[in-house]
Amino acid sequence: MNWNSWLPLLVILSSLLPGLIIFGLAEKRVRLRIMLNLLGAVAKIGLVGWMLWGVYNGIHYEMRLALLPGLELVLRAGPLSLFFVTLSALLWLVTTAYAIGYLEESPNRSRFFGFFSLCVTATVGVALSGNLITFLLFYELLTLATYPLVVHRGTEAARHAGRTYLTYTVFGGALLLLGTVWLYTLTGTLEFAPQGGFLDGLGDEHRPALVIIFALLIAGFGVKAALVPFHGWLPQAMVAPAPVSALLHAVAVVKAGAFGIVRVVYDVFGVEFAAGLGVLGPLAWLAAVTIIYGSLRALFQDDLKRRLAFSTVSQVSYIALGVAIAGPIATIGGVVHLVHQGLMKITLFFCAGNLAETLGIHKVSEMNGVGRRMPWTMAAFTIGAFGMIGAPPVAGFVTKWYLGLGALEAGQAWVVLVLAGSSLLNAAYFLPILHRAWFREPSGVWPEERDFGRKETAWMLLLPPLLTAAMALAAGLLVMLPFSPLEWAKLISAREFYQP
Amino acid sequence: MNTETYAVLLLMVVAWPLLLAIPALHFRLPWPRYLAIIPAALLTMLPGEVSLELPWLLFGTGFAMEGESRWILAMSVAIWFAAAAIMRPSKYDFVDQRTTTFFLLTMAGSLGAVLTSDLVGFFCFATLMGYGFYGLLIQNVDEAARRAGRFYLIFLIVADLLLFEALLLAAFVTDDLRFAVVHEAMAGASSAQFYLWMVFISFALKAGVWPAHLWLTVAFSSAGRSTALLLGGVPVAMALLGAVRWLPIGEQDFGVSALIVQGLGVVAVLYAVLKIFTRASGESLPAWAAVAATGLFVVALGGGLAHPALWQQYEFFAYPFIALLAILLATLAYLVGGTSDTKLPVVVPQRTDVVTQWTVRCIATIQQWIKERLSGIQSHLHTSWLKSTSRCQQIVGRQKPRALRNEWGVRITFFVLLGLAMAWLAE
Amino acid sequence: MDVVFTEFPWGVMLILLPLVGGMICLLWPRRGRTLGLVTVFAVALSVVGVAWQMLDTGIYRHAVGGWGAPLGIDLYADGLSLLMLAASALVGLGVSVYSAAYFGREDGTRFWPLWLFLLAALNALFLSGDIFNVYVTFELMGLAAVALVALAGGQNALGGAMRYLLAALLGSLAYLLGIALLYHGFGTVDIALLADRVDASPVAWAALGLMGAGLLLKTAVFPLHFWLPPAHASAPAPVSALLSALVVKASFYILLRLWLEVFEPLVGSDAVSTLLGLLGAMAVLWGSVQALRQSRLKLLIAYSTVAQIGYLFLAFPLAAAAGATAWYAALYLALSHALAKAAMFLAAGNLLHFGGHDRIAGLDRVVQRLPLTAAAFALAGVSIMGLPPSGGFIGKWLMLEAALGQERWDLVAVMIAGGLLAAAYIFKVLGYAFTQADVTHESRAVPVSMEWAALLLALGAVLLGFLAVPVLSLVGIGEPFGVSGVGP
Repeated sequence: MNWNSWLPLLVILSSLLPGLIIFGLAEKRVRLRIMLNLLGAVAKIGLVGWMLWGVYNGIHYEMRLALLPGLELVLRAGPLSLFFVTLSALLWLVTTAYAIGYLEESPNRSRFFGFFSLCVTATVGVALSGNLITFLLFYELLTLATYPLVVHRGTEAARHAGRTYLTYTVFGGALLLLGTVWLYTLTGTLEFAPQGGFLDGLGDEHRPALVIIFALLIAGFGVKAALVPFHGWLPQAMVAPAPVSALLHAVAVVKAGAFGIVRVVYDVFGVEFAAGLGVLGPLAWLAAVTIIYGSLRALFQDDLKRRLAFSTVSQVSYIALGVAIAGPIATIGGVVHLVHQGLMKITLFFCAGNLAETLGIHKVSEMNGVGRRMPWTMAAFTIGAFGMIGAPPVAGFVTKWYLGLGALEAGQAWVVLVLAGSSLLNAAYFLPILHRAWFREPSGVWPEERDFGRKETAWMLLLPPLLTAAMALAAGLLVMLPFSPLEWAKLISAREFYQP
Repeated sequence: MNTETYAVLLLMVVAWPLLLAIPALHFRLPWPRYLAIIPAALLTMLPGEVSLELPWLLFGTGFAMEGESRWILAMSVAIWFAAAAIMRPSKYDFVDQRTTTFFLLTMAGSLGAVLTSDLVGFFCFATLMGYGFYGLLIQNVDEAARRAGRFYLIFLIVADLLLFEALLLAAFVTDDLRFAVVHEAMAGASSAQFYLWMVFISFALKAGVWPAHLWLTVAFSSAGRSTALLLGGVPVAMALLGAVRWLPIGEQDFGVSALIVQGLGVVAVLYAVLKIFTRASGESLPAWAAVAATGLFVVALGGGLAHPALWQQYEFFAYPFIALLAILLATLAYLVGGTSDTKLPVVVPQRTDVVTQWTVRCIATIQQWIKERLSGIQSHLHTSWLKSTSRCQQIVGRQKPRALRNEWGVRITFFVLLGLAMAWLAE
Repeated sequence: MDVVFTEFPWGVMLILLPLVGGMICLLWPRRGRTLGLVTVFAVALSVVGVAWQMLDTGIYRHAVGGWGAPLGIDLYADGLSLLMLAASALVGLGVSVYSAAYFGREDGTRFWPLWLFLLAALNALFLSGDIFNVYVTFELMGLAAVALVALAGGQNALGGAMRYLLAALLGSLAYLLGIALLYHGFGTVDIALLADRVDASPVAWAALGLMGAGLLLKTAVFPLHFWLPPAHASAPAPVSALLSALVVKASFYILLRLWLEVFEPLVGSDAVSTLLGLLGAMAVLWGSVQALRQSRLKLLIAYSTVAQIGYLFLAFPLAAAAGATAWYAALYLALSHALAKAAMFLAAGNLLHFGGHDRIAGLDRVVQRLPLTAAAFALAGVSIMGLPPSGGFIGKWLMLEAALGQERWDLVAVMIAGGLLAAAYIFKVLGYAFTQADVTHESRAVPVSMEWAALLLALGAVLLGFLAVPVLSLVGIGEPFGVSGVGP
């Protein structure tokens, strides 16, 4: 094996090894733990950067490991993989810094950061997978690694949330396994094949089986991607600490599910084949229902994190919707939303965590006048919120643009209505928060204020949301630059729809 | 003056107020609101046309200053200057700081909307201006202001949605989204009528054209003098500007649509004139004047839609008209409010007009209906889920204590079922 | 050097070493611990030797005393035997290290000889070439196991041991009758010779029925599993590990051998394989549901064994059409279950040792202070649940592949449901690892070697997930399943 096949493995190891070491550290070795964490994160970004540069220059990175006779574990760096890996690596660094600041003085930090690193390992593995079995392997690892994070606080509510989370994800995993094995028995291979999937040549007699397999795979991925009716675990998982919510909802779990749906439609089934099977219509419909339902539920939540959770339910289905419309432009919209939603949502969750940690605010009704006390945090929140609503020039606008245009191009104008409805609902539940924060008088004493002197809050809590908000703004403002997420998404879409 | 300096100046017109909007900055500089308008003033006074292409911004946008927009720019400078003169905020009060921030953001948005040369840029700056103006509307933080803000926001959001859909339609037809190109492309497109109505309704909502004048009248009655001054020049004028720029007038005859638009305009003027002469007290004069003026403009638009050749001849006059309209409204607002520094007396109209009442009632009923439906679904799902889980829990035996008889009964039933299932499946 | 390795009778060593070691332990009790460890280690090395030999020359056949079949005793090993030998060596190693720290002096004097005898019997069983030999070693193994169960003393242990003894004797009796019938009908007890001579006559059917029933009883297949939970739960932790991991697998091994070789002409019919599949499915579901309902940890793990054994029997109905894939699936499941279940019982032993009780509801005070044990339980649980990456996943994958290839939706549903239920009861325990315990329990310290033994076994189960290709190629030596290799 030469260097080119080691690089993907190294990217995975760059968070696995620090994680395993951190497990063994005593609680009081704070410095060492912080150093290991940040070292791992920086190393990962470095390796990913190297891989990007290599792929840009035409180098092919792939690693194969025999799993079963006839099946291999494949790690491959293609444009779509790199898209997701870069997002994960960057946001992991930011979230690690945030988590270090957030969990100061909390118990069980070694355990937390150990599983945190495992979680990122699994995410990166999901991103770099080259076939469905590798994807499945890391996907299930993700479930196992995130459960301890959800129940970290150890309270009864946390355990209950963990139980719910497990029920949903293990069930989804079982469906996924079933679909994968079935597919394997039909086709004999599970390699991701761009431009058409690997299902060519299967005759008509397999059609019903293929439709059911598609449903199984989408259901399996849809659990993590919070498609209705599998979304129930997401609002409950909000009992986890804010860094966990940020990571889970922006980067790891939810995105892995959405990424899986993208892979299934493009690299397993192939867009034309899936369209021919007639399964993309129901998927689009399901995604649309999720978009509207999530936003409607979010309207009635008073708890801030639950409102954001339902907002996630709604937003991630944009990706599924873009995929299901099956046109090159809609694909761009769906794929780029992987990054855009990640940036915007992580900003919102960081801000929510800041509010909880600094002022003890958990509910929207407690947020009166908080803009006066924490202006920078709320400024970041405002940018994130406007991005969710789809107001230019934040990144969300770009997504809505491409999705709408793609829908018009594919002749599915009803999607534009769905998008409009979603924007309306988003405005309805985000703008009141902004109004409360900026235009109301504070009601007196905050629930639990921590004193930071003249600063608004600890700088390790303040910088991450500002950083991600700036990135979200830049992603929308500077879309035409060569390395913006949009240009990348265009590249990916062109590759998937390449007509030789 | 070489073109480079011009280009920088063009950029500064928008970028400078944006920069100053950061509280840390405008806190430290003297007279920030006056400072912010200086580049724009400079640009107005300098002769010649300028344009600047920024292919890396948004989807590739640019700024341009030609003869037509000079009118609007001049008007904007005058109005912003006047508003800044009237406002006397104190630097150290948070509310006033906030107001200044929104003032500058709105200024940046409106100037950008005037100077931008393509659809996306206009949409972007109009959004900034729209939300920034909300901040100005409710700066007084009392119930009337909040009510005004609520109406304004609802209209703004709906209008923005429609405008976005129209934008998508335009992008679907043509890749290049500059105004001139879109004009030509949309005129010939199959979705021209649809586009026309989306754009028209959207800008009508933004401008407070009858019958969507609710927010305008409420805003005029609750706003402070500086905000009332700006009402004419900022939301209304920019919306009218947008209508002129976006609508594919002057390319073809739009038949029935044009007639309807004209009709609307006429009704608007009549209605407003009626209101002015029958019931309006001094305070709502500016509001109804605005309705009348915008109605007049709509008539002109409709005329242009019906007779393209006519429009091509007289198109140029639209811009001075808008500028004049804004100045007139501003003057009216200033005069009616008296010469003192205080805000206009708050008069909640005793009998609002039919349209207002109807709109308010509609919105409230829709809200109530959604809430009821949703909680109904929620509780239904909740109880059915509870039932199924409690049954599962019984089988799994979580509930204690349990009678032995029950246990065996469950087991036996379970077996029988399983055996039946197996037998059936094995066939 | 090479010649020495290939010519050396490693198979004989496998039986001889533990026998001798056990006897010396009896005679010299004070050195029991050291002797035991050394012997087990030597056995492990011998297994490596056998494997090496088999890689060279294929099937291993050794005539003891120079007399071949049909009169003498043949030692016979193909890929299947090798796998079972390796499993017992690995698990044996782990359990021995654990027991070295677990048992005090008193118990140790009784444990080590019994354990070494058990090991000898197991190895002999896996190396047997004729069915009577199998019976003898089977009996020895059973007696040793019963004695080990009763080691702890106390009413529970003795009751469990009695029940186990009765079940074992019943099973053996049935088996013996079957042997008698076969010998009467076909004149030999050698497996290879019988494979040639047996045909579908009433004698053969009767023998199959008797031997099958006996073996099913000893493998604790539903509904004949009643003796297993009390026995495994009340025995000391290392003994439970051995029983669940190895002893029940031994009777499964015999059943497999008979099925594949002796009763081959009979198994073409669907009825028997359907019945076995049905029993397996019910075992999976029933065992898992019962495990979920337990309030004591060791009982939970014991019922989990009942469920996992059910999986093995799902291979029977699938093997007819899917061929080797189904058998490899069952084998891989057996192997990973051996490692994982041993790890689980050892972990439970640690918890018991630490906190003095194994009530699940009270675990939260204990688990948090034993992170290595919790990790061992978690990793073992991953294999039991069939989640990747683990040996359990590979086995489940292969089984699902076989089932889906034949469109046996009922079996697929059972497997999926079994996996979900396993996840439910595993996480029922693991959930307590993360809760805040208000009251810290009084505790006895757990020696490090005990924790690490459990953890290493669990890691082995997970590692099996990556070693499928070499392991399966080893199993294929000698083509025990009549077909070579696992294909897509």
